[in-house]
Amino acid sequence: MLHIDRYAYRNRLYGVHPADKVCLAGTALFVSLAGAPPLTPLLVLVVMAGATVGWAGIPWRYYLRLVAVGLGFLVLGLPAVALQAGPAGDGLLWGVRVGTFFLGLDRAGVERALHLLVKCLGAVSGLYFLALTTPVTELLRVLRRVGFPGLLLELMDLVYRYLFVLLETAGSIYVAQAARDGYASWGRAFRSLGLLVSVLFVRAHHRALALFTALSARGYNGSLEVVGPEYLSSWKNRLAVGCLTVGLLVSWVLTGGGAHVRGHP
Amino acid sequence: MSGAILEALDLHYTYPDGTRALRGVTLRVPEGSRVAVLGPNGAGKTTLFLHLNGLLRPRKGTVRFAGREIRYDRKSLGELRRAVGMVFQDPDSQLFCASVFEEVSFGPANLGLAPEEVRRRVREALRATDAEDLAERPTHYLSYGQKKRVCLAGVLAMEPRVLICDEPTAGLDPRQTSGLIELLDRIARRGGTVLIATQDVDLAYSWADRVVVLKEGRVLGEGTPTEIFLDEDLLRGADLTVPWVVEVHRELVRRGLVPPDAPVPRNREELFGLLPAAEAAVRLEV
Ligand SMILES: Nc1ncnc2c1ncn2[C@@H]1O[C@H](COP(=O)(O)OP(=O)(O)OP(=O)(O)O)[C@@H](O)[C@H]1O
Ligand SMILES: [Mg+2]
Repeated sequence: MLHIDRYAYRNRLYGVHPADKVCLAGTALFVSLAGAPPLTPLLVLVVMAGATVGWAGIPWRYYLRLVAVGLGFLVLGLPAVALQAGPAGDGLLWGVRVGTFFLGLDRAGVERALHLLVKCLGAVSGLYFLALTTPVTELLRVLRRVGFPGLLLELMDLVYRYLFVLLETAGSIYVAQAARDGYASWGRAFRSLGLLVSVLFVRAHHRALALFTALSARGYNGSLEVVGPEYLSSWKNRLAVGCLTVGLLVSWVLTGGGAHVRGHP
Repeated sequence: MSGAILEALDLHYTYPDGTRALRGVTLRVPEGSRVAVLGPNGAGKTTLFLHLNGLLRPRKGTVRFAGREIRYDRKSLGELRRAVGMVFQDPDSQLFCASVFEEVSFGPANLGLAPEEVRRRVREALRATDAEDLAERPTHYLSYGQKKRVCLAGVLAMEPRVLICDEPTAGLDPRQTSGLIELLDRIARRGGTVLIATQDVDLAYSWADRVVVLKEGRVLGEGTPTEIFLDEDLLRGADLTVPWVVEVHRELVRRGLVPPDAPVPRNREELFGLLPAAEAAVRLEV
C-alpha cells in the first residue's frame, strides 16, 4: 500500500498528464471487460504490464508480487463460479455425489471461470498501471475537473493525508513504547497495544481540532478550495498514450468486439 | 514611532479544562516592526498568538487591529485573517493537503483570486521559502524542516500585512535557519510586520526591534532587545539565558579589552567590529 504510493510519485511517467493515464487505464478496463476472452484480456494484460514495467519503470519483481496478490483473491472466488450442481452426473468432467445431487465441474463452468479470470486480470492490470503511475492527489484533480462532487473529493484528500499522519503517530508511539520494553512479553504487548490505540484516538481528535484552527487561520469558509499546478503536456507522451489507447481499442474490434457478449448473454 | 497595527489589551483566557493560559496580557505591535515573544514552555505564547487573528476569543480584554477593536462575526474575521497570517508551531496540524502545491494554494484560493494569480503567488512563496524543489513532492514524505517551510509558504502566499510565526526556527538546520531569518528581514524591510515566538535568545536579541517576555500568562517585560537582555533580574525571573553576544561583550568589558561606555553590540559583526581597537589598546599597554 505505502509502496504503491511511493512508486506513484517516483516513476518515469510522473510528468505525464494524469488525464492521459486515466484515459489509458480506463480503456484497458473497458477492453478487457468487454473484449472477447481469453485473447483480448490477455493482450490487455501484456500491454499494460509492459507499460507499467517497461515504460514507467516499476521493478518487475514488485509488479509480479502485486499481480500475485490479485490472482490470489481471484482464485479464491473461482470455485463458486466453476462448480455446478445438478440432478444428473453425466457431462461433468469431475464430480461428487451429495445426497441426490451431483456437485462438479463441467466444460462450460470451467470455461466461464477461466474467462472471468483473464478478464479480471486484464482489468486489474489497467488499475495497477494507474495506481503505480499516478499519485492520488492527481487522480483527485482529474476527478475534480470532470465534475465529481467536491465534498467527496475533499474527504478523500483529507483521509489520504491523515492516513499518513495517523500511521506516523502510531509508529512513533510504538517505537516509544518498545524502547521502554513495552512489548517484551505477551501480556505487556497486549497492554501497550491497547494504550496505543486509545492514545491514537485521543490524538486523532486533537489533530482534527488543530487542523480546523489552522484552516480557519487561512480563511477556511466551508470548502477546501485549492488550485493545482499546470501540466506541461508533452506531445511525445501524449502520442504514446494515444497510440496505446487506440491500439487497445483496435485489438478489441479485431478480436470480435462485443459480439461474443450478444452470443451468450 | 508609527501607529500600532496590532494591540492586545489586558487579555485573559482560560482553556475549557480550567488552565489559565493568559492572565492579563497587554501587547503593542507597531506597524513595520519585528517583535519577538520569549518565554518558557507553557508561558502562553501560542495562546496569545491565537488571539491575535481571532482564533480564540478572550474571556476578558480586547484585541485591536489597525486601531479598531476586532469583531467576531464571520465577515470581520475573514478580513482579519487575510491581513494577519499565522504559521503554526506544529506543521502537521497545518498541512492538510497531500500535494505541496495545492497546500500552498489554499490560502490565496480562499482570497477569491483568479487561478493564474493563485499559481503565481504559490510559485513566488515557494521560491521565497527555498521550497521550490518540494512542489512536486507529497507532503507526507517531507522532513520536519521541509514541512515547516511549506507551512510558511502557505501563509506568505496570502501576502498578509502582519506575519505571525510560532517558533519558526525550531527544528531547522543552520542553513535553513539563517535563510528563514533573512526572509523575515526581507519582509520587515518591505514594510511588513513580523511577530515570532521563540526560545532562541540569540535570535531574539539580534533580530527583533522589540522583545516581549511572557511567563505564566503574564508579561514580565517589554522593550528593546538591549533593555530586556541587559536586565539580569528579568532574565532570571523568566528562566532566560543571556545572549552570547552580550555575555562575551560583558566579559571583554570586565577584562578591560573593550571600553565600558561604548554601546553594547547587537550582533556578531558589531561585536567583532569592537575587537581591533581592543587589540590596539592591549598592544599600547604592553
Ligand atoms: N488546548 C488546550 N487545552 C487546555 N490547555 C491548554 C491547551 N493548549 C495549551 N494549554 C495550556 O495553556 C498554557 C499555555 O500554553 P501555550 O501553548 O500557549 O504555551 P507556549 O508558550 O506556546 O508553550 P511552548 O513553548 O511549549 O509552545 C499551558 O499551560 C498549556 O498546558
Ligand atoms: Mg507554543
